[in-house]
Amino acid sequence: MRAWSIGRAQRARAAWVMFGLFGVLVAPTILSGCGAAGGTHRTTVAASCLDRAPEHGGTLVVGIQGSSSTETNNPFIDTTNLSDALRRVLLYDAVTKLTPSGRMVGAAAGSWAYNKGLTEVRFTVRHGERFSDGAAVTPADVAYSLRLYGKIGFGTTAIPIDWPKVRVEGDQVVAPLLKPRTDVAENLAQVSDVVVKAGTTDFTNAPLGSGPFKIDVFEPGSGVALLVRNTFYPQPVYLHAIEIRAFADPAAMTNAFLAGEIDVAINVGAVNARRVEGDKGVKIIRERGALTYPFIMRLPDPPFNNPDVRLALKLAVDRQALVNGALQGQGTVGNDLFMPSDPDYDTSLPQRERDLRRAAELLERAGYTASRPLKLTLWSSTYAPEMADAATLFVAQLDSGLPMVDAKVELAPADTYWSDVWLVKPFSTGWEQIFPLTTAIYRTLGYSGSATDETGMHRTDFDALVDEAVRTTNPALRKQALYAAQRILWADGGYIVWGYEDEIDLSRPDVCGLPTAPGIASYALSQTWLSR
Amino acid sequence: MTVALTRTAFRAGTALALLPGVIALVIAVFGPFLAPHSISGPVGIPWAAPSWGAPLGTDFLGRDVLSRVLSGGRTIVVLPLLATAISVTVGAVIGIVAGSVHHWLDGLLMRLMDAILAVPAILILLVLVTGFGGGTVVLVVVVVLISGPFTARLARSVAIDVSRKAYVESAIGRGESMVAVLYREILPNVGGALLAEAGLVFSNSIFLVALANFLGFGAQPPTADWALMVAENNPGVSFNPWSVLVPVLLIVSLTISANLLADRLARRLAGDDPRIAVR
Amino acid sequence: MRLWLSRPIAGFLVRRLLAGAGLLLVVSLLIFTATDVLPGDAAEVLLGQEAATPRLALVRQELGLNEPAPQRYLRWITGVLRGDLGTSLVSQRSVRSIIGARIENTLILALATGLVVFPLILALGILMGTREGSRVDAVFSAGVLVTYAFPMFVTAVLLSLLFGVWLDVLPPVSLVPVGGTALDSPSILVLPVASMALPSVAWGARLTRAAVAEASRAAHVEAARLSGIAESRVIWRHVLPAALPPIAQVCARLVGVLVGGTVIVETVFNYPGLGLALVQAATSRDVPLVLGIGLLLAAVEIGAYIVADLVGVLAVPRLRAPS
Repeated sequence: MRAWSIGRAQRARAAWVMFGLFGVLVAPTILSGCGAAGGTHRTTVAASCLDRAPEHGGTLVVGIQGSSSTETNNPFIDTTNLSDALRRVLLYDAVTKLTPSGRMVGAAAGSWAYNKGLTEVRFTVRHGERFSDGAAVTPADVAYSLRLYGKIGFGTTAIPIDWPKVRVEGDQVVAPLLKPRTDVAENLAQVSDVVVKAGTTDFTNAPLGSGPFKIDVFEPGSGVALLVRNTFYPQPVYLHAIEIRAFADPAAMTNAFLAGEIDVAINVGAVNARRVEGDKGVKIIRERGALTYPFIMRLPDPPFNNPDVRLALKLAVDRQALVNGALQGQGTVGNDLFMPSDPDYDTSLPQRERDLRRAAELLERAGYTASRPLKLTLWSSTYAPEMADAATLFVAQLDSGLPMVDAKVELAPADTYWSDVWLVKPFSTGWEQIFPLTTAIYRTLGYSGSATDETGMHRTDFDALVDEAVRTTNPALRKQALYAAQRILWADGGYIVWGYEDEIDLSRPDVCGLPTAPGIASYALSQTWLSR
Repeated sequence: MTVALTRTAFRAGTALALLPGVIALVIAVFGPFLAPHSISGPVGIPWAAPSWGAPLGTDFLGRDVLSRVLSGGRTIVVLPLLATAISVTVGAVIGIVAGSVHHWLDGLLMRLMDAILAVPAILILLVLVTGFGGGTVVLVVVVVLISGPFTARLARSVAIDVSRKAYVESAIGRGESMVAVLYREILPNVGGALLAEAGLVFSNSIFLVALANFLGFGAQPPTADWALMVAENNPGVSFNPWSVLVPVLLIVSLTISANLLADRLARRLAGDDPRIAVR
Repeated sequence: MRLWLSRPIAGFLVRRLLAGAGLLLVVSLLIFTATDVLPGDAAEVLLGQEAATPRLALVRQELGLNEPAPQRYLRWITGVLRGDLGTSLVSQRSVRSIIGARIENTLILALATGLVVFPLILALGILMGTREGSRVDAVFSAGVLVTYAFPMFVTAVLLSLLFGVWLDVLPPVSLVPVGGTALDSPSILVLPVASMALPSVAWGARLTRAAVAEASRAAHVEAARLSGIAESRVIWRHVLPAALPPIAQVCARLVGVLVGGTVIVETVFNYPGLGLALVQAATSRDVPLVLGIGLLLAAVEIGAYIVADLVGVLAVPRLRAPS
């Protein structure tokens, strides 16, 4: 037999092999193609929430991000699980809290007042609040909780309260301030300064809370919690129970939602939001301005100490393309400023547009040419996929749009990004979630004294304007000062804020009263009800 | 061994087995020259369906999948092949030696293998790449540590039986060197299992390397790499399945051919060449 | 098998169990060092951006991370010997309770998958190995190789989407009923088991095939066939015992994978098992939790390999006698 001839038997064998291969490979391809085109296969309830009175009863099944093995019963400590944060909001009351629409209202505190020199704030504890065993919430409980939070809680460096010295005076809780601020109450609403009974030290089991729900079944590590209505809660709560499911993967959470296993999926992420676009059986709640991934240029480090370079890069970015590419279109274009839904956000500044010609001029003025280009390394991380994607796309934009720029991306692993890259490398990608503007400025956005000042701007006029803004109780003066500060940031600062990501929650149409604001406000499910 | 290879190469069946792999290799080597678009610039929205400008659609950043597929094969073959070769060789040597010496060395070697096997693979991967970066040497060491010990156990389990067979013991009794005995008598019997294992380790190591890349080590964006493409486009598989399935298909072609080739080598090694037959 | 409780066998078991205990100690040191050596610690991971503030020192103090590493390891190991596996750095809960919440799920998944996987491996491996080079072998080999070449994270996602979302015949995620176990709702196990079984069967069948093919080539097998003994008897009495040692190794490895290698399946199907808990603990630098789960999995692996080696010894009669 000639070496290269193929006999009949061998041909038949080959045919079988090829057929088998074809089947195994192509079948899922075809099926996934079909599936991708089709929509969801669940019966939809054409219920409307408008013009209807809330109905009582029912169990709402909520899905939220969380790695169930690291769930904790301690409501004060730092956690990376959103499932922990959700439970905290539902089980406990804080001094102040956010309503489902994102407004700040008093919770354990009925009212508050700052003294003349802004050296302390007095919270008047509300009457009628009770823990889930019926015991009344006293000022002593509130004071103890605040002191405990100050010791072990997150965000305490951002709020300038002298935590160990929080004390009770009559029916008031007095919190001495380390810096003169008029927005302490707003900031307390954003963090987990929950109220527990005075003297609580053991957190093996969840301490009793005074929130709208209490625990029925919860074993940390199992990934599921069943909460029932706290009958002692003074305001009306419509749901009988809430079942919380923690998901490690938002895609899995969305699959669960599409198959009807959960009623609400909180914060599904851009990719999964795109999966349900146009699906009539899904209520999509879009909360704008939830997160942003700015590119950070550190002003002390060359070449960013040159304002022409900074402005050139701000002009070179194609913002809409980044929103489309890194956020799957689920976001809005940014104008190099932060917190667009904050009442003091500067809406008067014109939207920066892409201007490659001007950017090239500025870079040439700075001395860069195609033969001696500006070499840039943009650092980013897999901490959030949007961070890595945005950086990759921006670098591609720079390389293709500006011949005098030679840019590349360096990805650093998520575990060490915040200690080794952020605040260290001259050009990196940040992660900033929605927060009161002034606190964000104090923390990262440019105030000189902060340990986490991202751009190292060090402008005394900027600092003075922000200090002035937080010291006044006059909203017009506050706005004026903050507008001036933001103008400095916009014109001269080291930030390229190309866009903001929407936070997207998915819900069945018959779930009503859901929160409409992003972040911690989206956990305020106390007013939610199921329409039948 | 060279004799076996030469004879194998001309078998038509072998040619058929190699065909998918050869196609994949050709694409890997010559693809970059044929790519219509750049691998880094977006041509549309992420995960767009196939169109005239992008016949395979776009990837998770809106870049042309076809261009990235054509450019993504070069990194795939070399590193996993090298890592597999080293891992299987090291494992085989340890396993065969352990199975052939019937004293304390066996126990020592195997307990060492057990210790490494008992450490979770994710830790081995994380520690090595975090500590030493995602370079070639590190990734090879990772594959060796993760795959080598089991190869050793497998080799030992076959060698320990063969080494006690009468003809082996008589060969040693005749004064033949241990190494010669290992090579001539024991290796061919272990060869089948080792070659099967090598094929599987090769398949596995491709995605092990991709995992390291995916976590942020080694290849930096916008590097095009088939296994990495599978991982990074997986979230959008319902938008544009081709962005995942085409690279997977190419990798599958490679690994199938590698495994089928290993099968033929194994049969050669064990049966058909009288000079190597052991009875 | 009269001989299997004989002195040499008992000696073998005692020796290996003692060595196993020693191994666990060594492995615990390896795991501790590996996790500790990783850059960053639990405090940094917890604090995220806040790690650049003075709070880092406070949290480190609280978590006991300021102690030097040998001291922390000794403190941990003495705790273990008393039965206390330590406290998770991230969630402040006892490691034992975290493992306890999830071990049942892991065992149920492992058993369910094992029931599917082991028989299939044997059946396919024998089928292909005894017919090495035939058309049947070619088809099944190709199918098995394609299955193994598909990475699990792709097959799991495709299965979840196909059967769970588009066809909607099975749950796309495996939500364990509140206060119950996976057995209360067995349909949630189907897709995870299938996702795990596909590559496991493929891998195991390939190696079993090689072992069976090799064993089939032995002289006494040829002789048995030529003397007219029925094929099934030939396989059962002559081929399998010779192929058993490597098959046992394969099964032992699979036991380890089924119990500890379920990360992808647990992520895609949101199944609360130990595999994902281990990876989450490693990325959070939660040393006590990594140690607790890691040691448990190590014990399972070591035990499985002792059994595999025992099977190897028993299957080959000449090895039972002391050499």
